[in-house]
Amino acid sequence: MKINPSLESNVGNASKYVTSIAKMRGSIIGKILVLATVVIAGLGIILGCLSLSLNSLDSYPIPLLVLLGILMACLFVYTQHIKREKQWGLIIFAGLSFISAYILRLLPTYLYGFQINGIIHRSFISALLLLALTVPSFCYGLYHMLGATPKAHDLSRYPIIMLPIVLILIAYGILLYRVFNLGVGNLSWHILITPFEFQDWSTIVWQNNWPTWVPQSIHQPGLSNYIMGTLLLIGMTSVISIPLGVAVGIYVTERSKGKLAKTIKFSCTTLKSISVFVLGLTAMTLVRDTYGTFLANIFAGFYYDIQGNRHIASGSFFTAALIISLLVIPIIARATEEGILSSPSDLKEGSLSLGASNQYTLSHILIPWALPNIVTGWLLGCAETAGSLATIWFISGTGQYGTGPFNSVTSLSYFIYFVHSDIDMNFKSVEGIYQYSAAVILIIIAVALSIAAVIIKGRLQKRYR
Amino acid sequence: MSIKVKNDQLPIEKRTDKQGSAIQGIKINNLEVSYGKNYVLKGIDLAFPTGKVTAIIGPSGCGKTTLLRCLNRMHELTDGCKVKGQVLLDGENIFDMDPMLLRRRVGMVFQRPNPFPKSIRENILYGVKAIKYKCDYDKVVRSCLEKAALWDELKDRLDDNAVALSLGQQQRLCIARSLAISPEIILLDEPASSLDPISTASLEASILAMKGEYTQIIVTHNMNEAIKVSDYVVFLYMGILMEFGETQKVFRNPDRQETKDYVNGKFY
Amino acid sequence: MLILAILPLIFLALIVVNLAINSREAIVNVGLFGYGKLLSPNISGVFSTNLGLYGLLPGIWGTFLVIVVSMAIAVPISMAMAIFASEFTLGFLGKGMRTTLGILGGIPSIIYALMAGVFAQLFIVPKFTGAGLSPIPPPGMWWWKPGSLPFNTSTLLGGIMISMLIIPFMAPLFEDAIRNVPNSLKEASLGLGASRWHTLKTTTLPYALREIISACSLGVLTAMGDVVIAGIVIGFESPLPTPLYDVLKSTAPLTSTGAGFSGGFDQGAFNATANSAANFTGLLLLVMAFAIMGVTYILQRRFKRRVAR
Repeated sequence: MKINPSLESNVGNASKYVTSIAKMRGSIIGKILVLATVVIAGLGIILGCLSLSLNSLDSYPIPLLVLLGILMACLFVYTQHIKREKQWGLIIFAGLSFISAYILRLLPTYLYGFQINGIIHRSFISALLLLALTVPSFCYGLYHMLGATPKAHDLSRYPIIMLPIVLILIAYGILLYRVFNLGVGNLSWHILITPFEFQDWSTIVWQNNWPTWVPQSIHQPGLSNYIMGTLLLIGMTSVISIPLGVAVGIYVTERSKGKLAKTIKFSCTTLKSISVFVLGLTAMTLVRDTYGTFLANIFAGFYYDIQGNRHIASGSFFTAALIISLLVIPIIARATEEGILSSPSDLKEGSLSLGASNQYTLSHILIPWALPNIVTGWLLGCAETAGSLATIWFISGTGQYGTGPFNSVTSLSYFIYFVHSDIDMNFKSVEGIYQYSAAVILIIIAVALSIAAVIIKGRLQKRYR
Repeated sequence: MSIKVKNDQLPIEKRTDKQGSAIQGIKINNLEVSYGKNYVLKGIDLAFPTGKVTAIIGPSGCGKTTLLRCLNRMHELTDGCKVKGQVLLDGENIFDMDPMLLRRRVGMVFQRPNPFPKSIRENILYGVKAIKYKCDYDKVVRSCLEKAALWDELKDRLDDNAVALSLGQQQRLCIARSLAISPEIILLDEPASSLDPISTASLEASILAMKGEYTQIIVTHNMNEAIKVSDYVVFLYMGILMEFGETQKVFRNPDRQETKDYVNGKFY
Repeated sequence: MLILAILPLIFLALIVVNLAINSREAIVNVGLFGYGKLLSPNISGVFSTNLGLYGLLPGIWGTFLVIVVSMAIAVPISMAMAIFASEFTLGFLGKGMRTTLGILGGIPSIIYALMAGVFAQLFIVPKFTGAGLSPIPPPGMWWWKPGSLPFNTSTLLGGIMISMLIIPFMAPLFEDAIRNVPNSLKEASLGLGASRWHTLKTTTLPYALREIISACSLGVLTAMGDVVIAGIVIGFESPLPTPLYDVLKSTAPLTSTGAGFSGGFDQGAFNATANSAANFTGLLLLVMAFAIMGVTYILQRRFKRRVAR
């Protein structure tokens, strides 16, 4: 592999660079200019990030850009004076800042046109321009402030990397903060324990010697059946997918050259890539096509309502677990495969040389070695199950008549969805306040499973051998 | 057939196989091994003396390890390895046998110690449990550790994890582990190459102590080791058997010029 | 063992066959080309199946827009995270990044859909709605109507939320890609006195490009297949936006269009033709997924030949 040839020419320039910048560092004017660039550009970055959201900082970008342009021009003059050669990048940059300042001055507060469904506020453009111009100048100033060595070259590139990371972490932080803010207030033990119930029916009551229909209703907000539903879903999916996933993983590693193994691997990848919507459709087809037959009891579920009547529900936990396990099996299979392949080869050889069969080696040496990987994969699959909505939203019900393998499937994510959507039902306004609490509980379950998976994976690194 | 309990306790020269004829040990007839188009071993004809230690020496890449791995059919784990010829164990061709049965009679100790990440007791009993052989587990553990000169060091720590031992102890544990299924022949692939001198000395003591009871074939780079432990020496060069004879004779008065140059350190 | 291992393959085949069979009815009854047929651009915003409009071209375009927006946000951020975690670490922060991403990856997609309003308020409303303007249409915007400005549903918002969904699982893949570059290459470059940044740009990234492409394709497939966020944040059915590139209108991607056909909000409605059209949508999605996998395969093979080993 040839090292990039342009690197060699840079090496020659490096020594020239160091001496000239040493001069720049040495003199007071140079120091002040570089420091000013860093400060102004830093302010510009902060201003740009804030302007992405706030509208009121509209008057600041223009003077800032003008200042930046002036500083760049001064630097250009200064380096020309010191090095007797012109650094064209600086003057181009100065020109760009002046031009953008002028453009911003010309723009009205709101931009129409472009035929889009909105009006672009000027601060959107100014934020983008600011960020585009200040980040390079900040890096440039930082580079010279730190002495213009290759190490400074690296250190000065940190802002480019850190800026997107900080922004996205702030975004995640806002999201989580808001969910917890809205949800924790309504959480209470009472809510967690009571199941949700809503019933509307009428009974005949004798009033004034005349039978009259009197409407009755039970209404009891609660989350326990949703929580139980989520946990039952996780449990049933694990029961189905762990044996299948481990079997697929073992088969694919043992006969990795065979055509069948390659087809199975490809089908696992495909199962992961087709949309969960397709799986949801399949679930719905399963339920609807067996309607009216005996199988409906298994796939569609049944329940007994308050008067003891038996109804066919819209989808059972069994169907949901079957479909979701199609998503989880590739995860576990991949984890098993990685675990087995990562075992050191001399373990396998040692076992075979003692006369043990391949089967025995697999079950006594390789699977125990791959066990942490399998557990990690299983936990990730559980986190995926807990949060899955698309596969079950066609077949879910409210689950108020009990939670069992053949009852109506329901889970926390379904609760959040159906409260969110505009279903005209009486209890929506009361249930609505528990939407965020349900979200909090769901996040806690899913994140706890992910944390467990991450911890086990971290322990994997420290394993002996 | 696999384990003959009473026969075990006899020194190997006196043991007999099922038909009552004396155990003949390993005999190689015209073995040729190739990886793809490269021939690694050509035309090897050899008979290993039973009950003695035979050292295989030769420069790097001459096929020593390949020869050793053929003897218990571990070469089948690498792709593209083709073997022609016969290797007879007590008159039976090993390439016609079930490889698992073969490996219970021909054990192997590897270059880098590879104990299982289980307890010491479980390591030793692994092979016994794999073939579901009923015996007194504690007795087996004790006798194997004694033969490998580890009993005094480890008798209180039998449930500790084997990976926590020092390299020298791990290697001797691997030897003890391979003794548990009472093989007739033990193959050692450069067993002392990852060990320090003190562990090497204990290892060599174990090898000497196992003489007479087991046939040992040891591949080594270290000529001092060959002189110390072995009774017979095989010199391989470029995949061809150059010389076979008693240790003293091969080192002091070899027949061929190449052997003479090698033992005198002219090339390695 | 073999029997168990074959089951996923069988299930996949059954799913595809099921899709094909169920969509036959839509192809036969509704037709493929023409007004309101599948593969035409005619679809209305609400209850289009009741109106007999089954156009799916807006769905395909919506999927494309969503992929573009979400990848445009996710790829640079994941790249920055990967570089931070592997080359430019700040001590324990680099390892902490991987743990944080693992934890954030557990957040289910429904939560992102729920919280989309927050981001709309923070970012889209100030910048794009002209909030505070009087209801008189501004000069030059003759098509403006009060309430027609993007508020809570738009493709841009959907793209942002989907990118937040896929970043936690794309960034570790990028990081692995960079880590798998052999040390000898990096050391050769550093030994000549180049800075780490230069080494990254010229040596490491071109070498890791192959794995980066496969990681990107996984991200694209996930973005394409997410129906929850698309349904709740973008909508279930929508016509083509009048300037095609307008991401501030909501253009429902294929997944949520299909969900809209087969019920969406109102689960009681069961129209056999609509259900069959939804299956056809699923079939289209499958075809698109295979197309993306094929494109990835071709790109990977091209890059494999370029880099000398």
